[in-house]
Amino acid sequence: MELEMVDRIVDRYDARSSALLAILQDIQQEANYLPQAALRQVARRLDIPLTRVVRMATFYAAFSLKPRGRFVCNVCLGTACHVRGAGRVLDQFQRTLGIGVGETTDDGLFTLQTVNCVGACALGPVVVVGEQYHREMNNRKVDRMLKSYRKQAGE
Amino acid sequence: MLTFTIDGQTVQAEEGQNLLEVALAHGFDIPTLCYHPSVSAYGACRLCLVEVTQRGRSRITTSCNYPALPGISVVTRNDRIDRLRRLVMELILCRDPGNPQLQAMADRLGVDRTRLRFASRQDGCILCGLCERICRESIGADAISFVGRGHERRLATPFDEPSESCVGCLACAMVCPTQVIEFTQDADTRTIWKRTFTLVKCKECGAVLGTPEELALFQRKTGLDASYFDTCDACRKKQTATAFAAVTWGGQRP
Ligand code: FES
Ligand code: FES
Repeated sequence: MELEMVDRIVDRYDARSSALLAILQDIQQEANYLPQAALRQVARRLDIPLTRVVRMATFYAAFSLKPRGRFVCNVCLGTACHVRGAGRVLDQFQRTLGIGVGETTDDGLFTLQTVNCVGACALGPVVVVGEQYHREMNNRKVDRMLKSYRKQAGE
Repeated sequence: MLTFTIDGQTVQAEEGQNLLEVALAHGFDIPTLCYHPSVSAYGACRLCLVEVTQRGRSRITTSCNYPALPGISVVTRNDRIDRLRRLVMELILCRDPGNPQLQAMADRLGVDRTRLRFASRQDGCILCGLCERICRESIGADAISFVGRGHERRLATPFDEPSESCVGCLACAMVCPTQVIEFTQDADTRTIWKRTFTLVKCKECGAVLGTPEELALFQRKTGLDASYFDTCDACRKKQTATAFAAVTWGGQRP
């Protein structure tokens, strides 16, 4: 973890403590998660208590304090997706990947997460991987999707 | 100064005071778990409910974070308030039905059991955040905070590691309404939030004064001379008395 990266991001916001949320988002974007050392550096640079940084970093589901896989799979468990069978879709992910929610596969490829509604209810059950939305998911489509990401990673 | 009524009695308050502190100052009995006069109100426990009537409209609200306003009338107890407080108490109690402090409050409100179950954990913490506010607002250490959200929300030091900014003053443990913040202390050390502090003792009698970190912090904040923190209250009094006796009675006590 290069702290210069953190410094660069903090400088972009003139080290304003009101920009804390945006700063954390940018770090997460670059590092794929929020490393402890980065959070400590943010607190130091913004001259705010570390508790305030940690409190925010652990509040938002979009932030992760653990390293995440290359493909972060967000299974929507919002009401609409739930009634359309998102539970089964999540089960399929857990079975196929052999990990639980919030965990990352040993090969560092996949992280499994859940979200509550991504605003695409008509397409449910929805799975969001990175920027890609996968619609009307079922067990077969889960397997096919994971296979294609594996292939993508192998190339 | 502004005037309003509580349970029919006319009371006066300063601008900016909240209903709860005015009511308590006038001897009214309102149950609270998350309130402490020296820190900001947070409105977490919802037990301090009262009914406020303003311009003919009435509503039930928490009194700890509701401002005293001229001309309002406040009711601290009626059937509706009692019922709501009991419901709230059931919700709080399900966090840890075995906690003695929660049981005592439940007893006081006439709640003998909770119909709910909070499955995630039963550690007695009701997430009132009083420890966090005392640590930040009164002590100024900022060692602990809420982390996580939803049913995983809890109070902790950053990354659950011994906190660098904790001074070991125990204020958090003292104000905790359910008394669940653990600490240990023996003759020479004190441990809280996984950090162990050595204890400073009174130069005269050896009584425990506190941790070096907390004494340094209090010295910095009060601006008192460092030597003030060498002795305990009792020995300091004795020293002062002796010093005065020396000039008043020529060193002889009458
Ligand atoms: S519930 Fe899944 S997108 Fe709204
Ligand atoms: S004392 Fe008002 S909500 Fe707890």
